[in-house]
Amino acid sequence: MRIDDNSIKVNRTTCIACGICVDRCIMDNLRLSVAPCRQACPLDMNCQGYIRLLALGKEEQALEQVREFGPLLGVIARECEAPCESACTRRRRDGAVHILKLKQYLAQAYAGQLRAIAVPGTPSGRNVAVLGADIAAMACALRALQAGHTVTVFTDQEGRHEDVADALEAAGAVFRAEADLDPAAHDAVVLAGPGHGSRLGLDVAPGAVDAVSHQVEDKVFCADSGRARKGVAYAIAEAFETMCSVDRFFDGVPFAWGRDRYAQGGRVKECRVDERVGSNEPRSPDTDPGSVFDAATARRQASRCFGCGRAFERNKTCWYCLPCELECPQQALEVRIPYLVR
Amino acid sequence: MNIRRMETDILIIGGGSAGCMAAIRAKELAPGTGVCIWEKGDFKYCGSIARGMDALNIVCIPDLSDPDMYLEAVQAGCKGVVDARPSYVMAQRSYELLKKLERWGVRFIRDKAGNYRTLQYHVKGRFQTAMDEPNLKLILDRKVEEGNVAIVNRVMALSLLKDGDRIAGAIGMNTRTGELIVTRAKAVLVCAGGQARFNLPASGYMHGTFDFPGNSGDGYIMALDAGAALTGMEFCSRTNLIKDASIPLLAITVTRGGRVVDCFDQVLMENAVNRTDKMNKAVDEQRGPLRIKLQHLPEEMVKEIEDILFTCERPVQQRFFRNRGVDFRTHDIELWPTEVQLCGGHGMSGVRVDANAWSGIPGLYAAGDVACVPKQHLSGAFVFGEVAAENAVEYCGTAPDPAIDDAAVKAVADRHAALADSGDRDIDVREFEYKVRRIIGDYVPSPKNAYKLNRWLEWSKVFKVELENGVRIEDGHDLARLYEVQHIIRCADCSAMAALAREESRWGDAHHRVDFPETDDANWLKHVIVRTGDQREHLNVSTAPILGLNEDPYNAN
Ligand SMILES: Cc1cc2nc3c(=O)[nH]c(=O)nc-3n(C[C@H](O)[C@H](O)[C@H](O)COP(=O)(O)OP(=O)(O)OC[C@H]3O[C@@H](n4cnc5c(N)ncnc54)[C@H](O)[C@@H]3O)c2cc1C
Ligand code: SF4
Ligand code: SF4
Repeated sequence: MRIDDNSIKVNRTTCIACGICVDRCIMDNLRLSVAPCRQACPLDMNCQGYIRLLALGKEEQALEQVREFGPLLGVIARECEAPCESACTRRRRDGAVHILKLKQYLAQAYAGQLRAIAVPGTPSGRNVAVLGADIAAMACALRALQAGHTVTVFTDQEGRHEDVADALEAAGAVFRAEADLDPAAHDAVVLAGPGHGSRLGLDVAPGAVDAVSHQVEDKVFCADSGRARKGVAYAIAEAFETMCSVDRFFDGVPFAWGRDRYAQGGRVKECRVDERVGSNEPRSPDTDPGSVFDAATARRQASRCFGCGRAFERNKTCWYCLPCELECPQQALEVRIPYLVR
Repeated sequence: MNIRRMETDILIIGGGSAGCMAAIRAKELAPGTGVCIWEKGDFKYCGSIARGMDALNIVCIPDLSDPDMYLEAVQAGCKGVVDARPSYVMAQRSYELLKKLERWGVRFIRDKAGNYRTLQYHVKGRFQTAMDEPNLKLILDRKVEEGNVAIVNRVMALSLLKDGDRIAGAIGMNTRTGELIVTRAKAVLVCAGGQARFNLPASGYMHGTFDFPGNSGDGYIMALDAGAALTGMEFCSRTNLIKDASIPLLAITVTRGGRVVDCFDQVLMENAVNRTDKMNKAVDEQRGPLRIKLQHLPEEMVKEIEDILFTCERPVQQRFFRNRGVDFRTHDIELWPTEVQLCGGHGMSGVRVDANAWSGIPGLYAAGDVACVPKQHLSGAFVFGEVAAENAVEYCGTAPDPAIDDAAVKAVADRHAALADSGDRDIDVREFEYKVRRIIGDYVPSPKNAYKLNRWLEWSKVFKVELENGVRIEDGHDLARLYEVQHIIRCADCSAMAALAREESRWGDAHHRVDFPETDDANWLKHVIVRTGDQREHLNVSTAPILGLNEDPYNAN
């Protein structure tokens, strides 16, 4: 008997480790080996994906990989401390890939497209209130818009991210004064930080917010369980997770088994990223910190990526039914009929 | 262990053909009803219709056929062992179903005059209606999505929960992380398919089955444990399909002029798939392997056949034939008997339901391959998905909220923890499944005799001990796999017990007792019913009469 035959062939050059095939497999046959950069990213951003696509000269497709971040990408590219670069496998060889700069390149070259937030054709019919003016509030509003909800942001402060706020407004978000908030008029109320609880007469203790559900009261959620204060990427990540919980709350599924309703597990983490991020070794050979990549430099830099992550067959339960192959955006995966059947 | 909990009105177990249809119908009737689907795989493509379908096997098109004709056909096909009402209701609703699917964008093939293309697939009558819809599941997925249904993916239901006599919900596990989930529901619809992983396919590859291998009989066993009756478990269905690949193509090739021949090139069937009995007989008499010949067909016809086969249902056969160097213009297609499956849709094994898809237990409904509406195929899965939803919605309207039995949840959780903590156990769960299925193949399917069936029941005891104490578990996937094997073993128990009881032979290869070779209509024109009980392997076997058009198995009060 031979049961460890390989039925799924993944092309290591073109696979962008997006994990779509893993999520769609109906027999739980596949797993995604997650690249270290993605493991380190609080946002679970598929760095390898857009880098590989940049290297292949497919800039439009690279943009697709980060489009869900919309106008936030610019903020992340400017302010993130880039744990991805610390985790990069190339760091110990000849310096990490300049992931942050590649992100900056995309954010700048496609700023116009990223500002245009795509909202679904059919509205969800739900009405969400967001309290706050900082990046977490912006991120919550962005996610709510993308889910088709009606969004009102209540704030009295001048936000730091006017460009993001403008993009949200253009996509349909309404900004109003805090005093106008009437919780009864909304299906969910999201506090961008614990402090905003006082507006509802709630005493939300910063440490008391559940890190998974982010729910503090029946329909009240708080996007900061403490992690958010570690940096911009963490704040946005918590905001996204919170909105995921809000959607599950609307669906009647009061727990989160993953960011996406489809993706629960299916990830394999093969290297110890914590050690890499914690180490003091220099990240990358010195480049001019202020410099900006042009298209050619970006492509050259991107082609340094080893492509550490990829999908693979783990469970040998394939029915060779083909959805994985059909859904792969890169035609990187080929379903072979198992040897015993071939 | 932390158990995830949620509540809903209707819980649907299995998001395939029947499950999707049920969810859509429930939301259509009562948009405010909470509907949740648990799907073992991933909802977008899951189940038997992953890459679409090429025919709706039972449709009574007005002026061409009617439910009475269908009833006659299915009674002949089942050698009399079929309750009339459910099959009749399905036939009655089938044309309306086709029209509905067509409105949703499902493509049915029509000729220039606008008539549907019908094919002969039954002993008599042209009920099979050709469709060509690779994206059938995606169309359903979109419809479910529009209805605001809560879909929880990668959840395998493990057992149903009850509150007294009625259903109260279910307990399941995440197939990747192993976490448990409990959902309280007023009504539960079991739509978890049949049992595709019974014995081993001839190729030896455990998942190279004809039916969707994610269906491992979970639905049968859950319903059984909840007190429902199973019937037809002795019907071990087997067909003749592409050798090694177990992929269907008879209907598409033969109805377009293909010929099925035996080893002497004697033609068994041509133009219509109406004599599968002749095929089985030829195989029995060692006149196999059977082959399909297409060489005599004009190029356009071969092309049309290829276009359908290579895009829809199981498009993988394109690479299968390429690999083997088979070109329909020059080569025959070799057929071989498939592995055995228990299935209420192709065969006749499943939860005994009435024409309301009701199992007899308040709040518990079953639809699709898990329910015995013999040979209902996709038509039945769709129709009874709808029927189950209609009755569940009505039931939810009056039923109070059930209570969750915490002791039952704890019992499942404790055992779950014990199985997961496998210490130094050393049997690989894949090997365990391989051996179980090899042994099932040796003893349970035809040709059957009392000695063999009893031998299986002895093996079964051994496997059950090994299952609890011997199998190594590394992650959630392994654990889910172990539960699947448990269900495979218990389905084989049901099949063996039912086969021991039915002391006659019926349905050709599906139930051939060497020690009782004759068909005995005087004594055995009835159902063999399996329930939980105190006979061997905690089962009880009894018989029940076959019901006519005006009779129902369960008293609705
Ligand atoms: C290859 C093939 C070709 C066919 N061709 C035709 C045809 O041409 N015409 C026709 O009329 N019929 C055809 N059929 C039959 C028809 O497709 C089936 O009868 C029908 O799809 C059954 O629907 P179902 O909902 O019962 O099962 P499925 O659609 O298989 O769905 C069952 C679902 O339940 C899920 N599940 C299983 N166990 C659990 C659990 N424990 N917890 C949660 N979820 C679970 C599974 O993952 C699966 O998604 C064909 C079948 C196959 C396999
Ligand atoms: S094989 Fe395709 S779908 Fe799968 S991870 Fe790679 S690129 Fe994504
Ligand atoms: S062919 Fe089907 S079972 Fe195999 S990996 Fe792809 S989706 Fe999964």
